[in-house]
Amino acid sequence: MPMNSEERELLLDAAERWFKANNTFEDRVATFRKGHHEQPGAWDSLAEMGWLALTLPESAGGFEAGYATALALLACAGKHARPEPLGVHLMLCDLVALRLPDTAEPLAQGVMRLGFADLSPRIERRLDIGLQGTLSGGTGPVWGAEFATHFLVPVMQSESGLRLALVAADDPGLATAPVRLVDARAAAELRFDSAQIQWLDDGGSGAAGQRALDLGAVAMVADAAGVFQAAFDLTHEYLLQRIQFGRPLSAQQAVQHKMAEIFCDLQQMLALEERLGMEVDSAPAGFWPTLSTAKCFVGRRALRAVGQLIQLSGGVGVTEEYKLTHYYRRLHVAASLYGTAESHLARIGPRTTLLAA
Amino acid sequence: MSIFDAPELRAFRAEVRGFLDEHLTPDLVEETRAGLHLKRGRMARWQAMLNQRGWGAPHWPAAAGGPGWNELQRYIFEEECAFADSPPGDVLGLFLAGPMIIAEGSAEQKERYLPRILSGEEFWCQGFSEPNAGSDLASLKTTAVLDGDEWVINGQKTWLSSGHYADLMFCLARTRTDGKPQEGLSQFVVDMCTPGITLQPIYTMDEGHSVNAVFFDDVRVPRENLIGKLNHGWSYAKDLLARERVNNAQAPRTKRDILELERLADTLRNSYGPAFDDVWARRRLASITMDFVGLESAVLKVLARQMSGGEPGPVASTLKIRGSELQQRVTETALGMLGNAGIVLTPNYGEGFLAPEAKGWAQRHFFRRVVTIYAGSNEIQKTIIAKSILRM
Repeated sequence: MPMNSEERELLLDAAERWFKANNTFEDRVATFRKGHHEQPGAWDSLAEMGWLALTLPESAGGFEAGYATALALLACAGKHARPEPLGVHLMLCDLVALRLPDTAEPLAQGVMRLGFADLSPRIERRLDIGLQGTLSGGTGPVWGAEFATHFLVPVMQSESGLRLALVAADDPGLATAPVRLVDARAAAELRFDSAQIQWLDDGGSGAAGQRALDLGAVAMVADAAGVFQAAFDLTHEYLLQRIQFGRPLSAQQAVQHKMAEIFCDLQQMLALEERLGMEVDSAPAGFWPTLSTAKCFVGRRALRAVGQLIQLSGGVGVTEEYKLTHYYRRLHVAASLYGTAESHLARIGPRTTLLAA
Repeated sequence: MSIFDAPELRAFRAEVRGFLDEHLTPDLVEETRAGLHLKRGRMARWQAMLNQRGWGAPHWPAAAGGPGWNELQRYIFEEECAFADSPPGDVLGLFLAGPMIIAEGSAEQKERYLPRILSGEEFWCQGFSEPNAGSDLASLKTTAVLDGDEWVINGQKTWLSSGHYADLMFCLARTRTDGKPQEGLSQFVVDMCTPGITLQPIYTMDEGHSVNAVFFDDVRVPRENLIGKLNHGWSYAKDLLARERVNNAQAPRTKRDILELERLADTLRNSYGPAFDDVWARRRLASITMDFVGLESAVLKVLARQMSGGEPGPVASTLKIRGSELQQRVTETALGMLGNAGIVLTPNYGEGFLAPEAKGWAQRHFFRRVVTIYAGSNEIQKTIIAKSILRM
């Protein structure tokens, strides 16, 4: 049953408390250079709290709490700049469990963990026999790679569009190279050399790869909404207390007007995220007319707005240890992964978007 | 799936569309499409037809004569009306005077004024701005002094949209000169036929006439024409302006305009051939559409609050800012696409080179310079957001 608003509030309260008590941003400050890593045992705690089963169907032992709820939780994770790859899990676990029913339980228990590669031009399919096959080539940075037991990889096939492959992390044909994302989150690039894969679509229909990318994009929109909100609140607080010229910066009209403009963008970002959540809930199989708008908005509007928050914060706004710079960098990741602003802009047009929405 | 896609909303949309198909006559459509400054007679006729159907004021509460719709129904109705080019009606009565009287008026005032707004019999104008009190509205100088059973009004108002055909004005006047300027203002209903009122047209840069200046010389108004409490006019004005700003977002009309802009691009692509910068046009259309969906999503959230009985509050300023900016971007883009055809005020399309959809964009563009200025300039809106929401 989809969560009602009271249950959702309880969940979000619990999330706030857990994020504030475990591996907080302040604890991570000293280890930026080593990367933002998930703490051992963190994922088990999420499983115990039931979060990992939120979007799984009741028939598979999940809570079926609704995607609007999942998005609200992901926005909260964005607000706290969390290192755990909750977005990949919450948006994609149902897709995996639907094709491979035996995976529902290990996914909910946190034993099976997903990493999700973005579309890469360097992937080659080598051999297909039914739903099995092999891959060669490589990917860009993969969110959730550090503890993944399995990787989802979208593969472009000219004859059937975008397919979706599942690769076991311990496959002998797979090598991983750890990288840090710009916001210090731990990730890895993947290299395949005839790695064994399983296609997660039936008989080569090209819908599964695009669907996975769109689900990933939804997660990025939610993350961005939380990041934008938190960056705004942080800057707002700073401007109220920072004294220059004998009065708070917030007393300067130039500063006030800039903040008002950014507030306009923030209202739209939050409204787009909520609307997208309603669309995904009302038609889990798609089509979500607001997706491309919301994802494009992250790259073209939210990113610029948070850049302006740095401008308003002055010198402290560019320092490595200040949280605002991490929000800005995290937003870059959200803007880029699973469809850039430009690629989503190409999917928007007055008739196609407005008459559908 | 779209949030408008539920079966009951689809049926509702079909019902609205059916009504518009049946009742909207070609002359009404043509005048709405062509004109920024519509004639009162046609607007009144259309308002009467809507009212007969029970749809005279979709945004009013049911108790005051509204149809009792939710925000999505209201939005779908406004959207279908915009798509069909139906006349907007008396915006000042329907969106400003009416809701203020519903919120603050006496039982007698409600009975006297509301039915005639609904029926289209009476049109309203707004006496707020003065030559020296535009953005700084609270410093207005027009006075109302009680003399026996009448208020005597003296002063000058400006920017009266529709003032030249309105029957009634809601007028903000000073009723106390001591204390804070905001605390000495009151709202009155003024009959535009009262002796002592002189009206002057103001022509705008699109060469149209829709706004006016008005002078009051000992204009005597019955005592009972005070709306609400004496010296509370400023707070009523703030609520009124917030409601106006939700409407000023003009989301349904802008949606219509963006779709028209795409048709313009289709037409020009055919007639200009390679001279038409298609890559630029498609990108620009996509970008405008993206910003529109952001605006619309934010508007729907505020409408939801409004339709469940709340006031929109200062967040309406965000809708006014982004909505008015977008309106201007749409016509700027149209002129960019049109090239030299966009610098002719009344182009002649008799030769058949350009289609009729290329017409009227220049006028709209010039008139729309005002949308970021009226209803409180966008700079005032930013100050409202900073002060009232962000406490800066």
